[in-house]
Amino acid sequence: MIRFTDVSKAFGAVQAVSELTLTVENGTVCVLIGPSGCGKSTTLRMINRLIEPDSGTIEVDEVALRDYDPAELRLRTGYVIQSVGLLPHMSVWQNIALVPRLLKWTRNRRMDRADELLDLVGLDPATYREKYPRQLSGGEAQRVGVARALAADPPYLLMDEPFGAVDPLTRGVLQQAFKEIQARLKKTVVLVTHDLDEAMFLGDRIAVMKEGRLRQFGTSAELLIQPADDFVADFEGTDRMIRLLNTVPLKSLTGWNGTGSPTLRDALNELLQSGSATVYVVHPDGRGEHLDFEGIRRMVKP
Amino acid sequence: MIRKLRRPAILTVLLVATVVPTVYEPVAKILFPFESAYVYPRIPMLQLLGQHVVLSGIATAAAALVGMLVGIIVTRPRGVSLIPLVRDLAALAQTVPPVAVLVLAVPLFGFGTKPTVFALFLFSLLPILGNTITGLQQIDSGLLEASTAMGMRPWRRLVLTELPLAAPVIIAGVRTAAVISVGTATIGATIGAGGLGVVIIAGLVRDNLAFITAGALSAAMVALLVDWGFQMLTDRFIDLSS
Repeated sequence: MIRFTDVSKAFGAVQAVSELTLTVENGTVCVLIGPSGCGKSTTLRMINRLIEPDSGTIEVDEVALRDYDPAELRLRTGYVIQSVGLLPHMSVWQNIALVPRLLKWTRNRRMDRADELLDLVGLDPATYREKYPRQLSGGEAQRVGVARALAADPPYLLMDEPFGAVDPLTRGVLQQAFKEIQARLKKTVVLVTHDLDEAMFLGDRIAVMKEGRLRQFGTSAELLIQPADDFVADFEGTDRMIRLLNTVPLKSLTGWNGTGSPTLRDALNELLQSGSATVYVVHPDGRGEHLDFEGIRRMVKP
Repeated sequence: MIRKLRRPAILTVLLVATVVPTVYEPVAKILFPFESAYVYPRIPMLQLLGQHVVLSGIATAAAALVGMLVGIIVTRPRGVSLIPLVRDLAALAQTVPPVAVLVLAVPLFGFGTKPTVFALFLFSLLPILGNTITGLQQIDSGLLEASTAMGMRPWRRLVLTELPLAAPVIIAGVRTAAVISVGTATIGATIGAGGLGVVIIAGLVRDNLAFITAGALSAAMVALLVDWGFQMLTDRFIDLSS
């Protein structure tokens, strides 16, 4: 658990974070989102003490951050950044095995672990382990970045716009891959992004920030149904109801052949596309139903 | 591979030709038919070559050690304010001609090897120190932050991230210093440090072109061989890192 209590941080005259109070539960993904300069990256970087707060306390596992040795803390906090930060003079496997190396694992154990992680992030170990970062595409490098952050199996994962530097198609693939990995590993993740779709797709809870202040903290559905103020509503855009459809998962949808699992939005799309009066959906609880437009409307606005 | 070795092979052959009397003498007779002597009689060329290599080698190694150490210290957070001062001092050391340093060093160290090594050391310091500072400062700050964020303490970060990334630039500095040292070491002969300069000076005094050529040519070959050696080292480093 990561808990911020009344945390403030200023850089000169600029108040980057103001009186932030926020709790990230174990095993969940908390997304920090907001316009540039809203303090989201500063907030993230205070968690591994790259930045020290001016006032307030941050606790990890009920222990105040200032009681941790920074290097020890960072060894158990995976960190993924947009520019990836892979060391160019080390091969892929050496990069992945960096934190295990700092933890003094044996070479064999490190190599095995690197292979394991390459598998996990969907890269073939035999092809990739000896490559150097400059030989990788943006998407591959980003996967290696995630693998490196997970190498020593840290309970916490900090991600600063991890999928920001790749093309939209690759980004979608990486988001899906990350969602699957997170479903298996159940890390406590804090992720910074400015992409609302990404936030709603990956985040269990979303913290909307503006000018250093937390404006709303909740699930995507909560944010969409009841935006706390005009700023949050504006930030969510004019297609809020369409986004809301995305937050309603379905177990299956007849006629649909996308990847991952379908949502109510896919059902609406199917309805519009097929021209028939209803689509057949199965809800996560196993209940099957023929849905028409009115049925879809009722599900998001009872 | 054979292509790669062509250059050092030619250099080595030329070097051997100038230092081995039985090879040099007949060639010099053709080139300089009117000289009274062709091979420096007092000290064997091979011995002078050895002295030369030792002189410039010690000076470069000492400069590398001090230059890198100071370069590392001043690029640490606490030392950054010293960088302009250190750079100026090193530049000053290089603007004073080595001959002047020799003259000033003799009263301190006496004649012979010591003042020569000292002059060469001062002269080699700037390229190594300057490149160490530049190499360490030019590293992408994102990589440094990523290293810290992964849990590296300052010392680990220096060894695992900073020095390897700065290595090509640092090696280039040592290479320049080594080549300068080999070239400049010839002046050591003026204060009795030995080396290949001895033959050159003897040639100048006796107006003997065969001596001058032997000394100058062999010193030049050593310098080029050293340069080639560092080239190999740099290539190897780039192979490893990319």
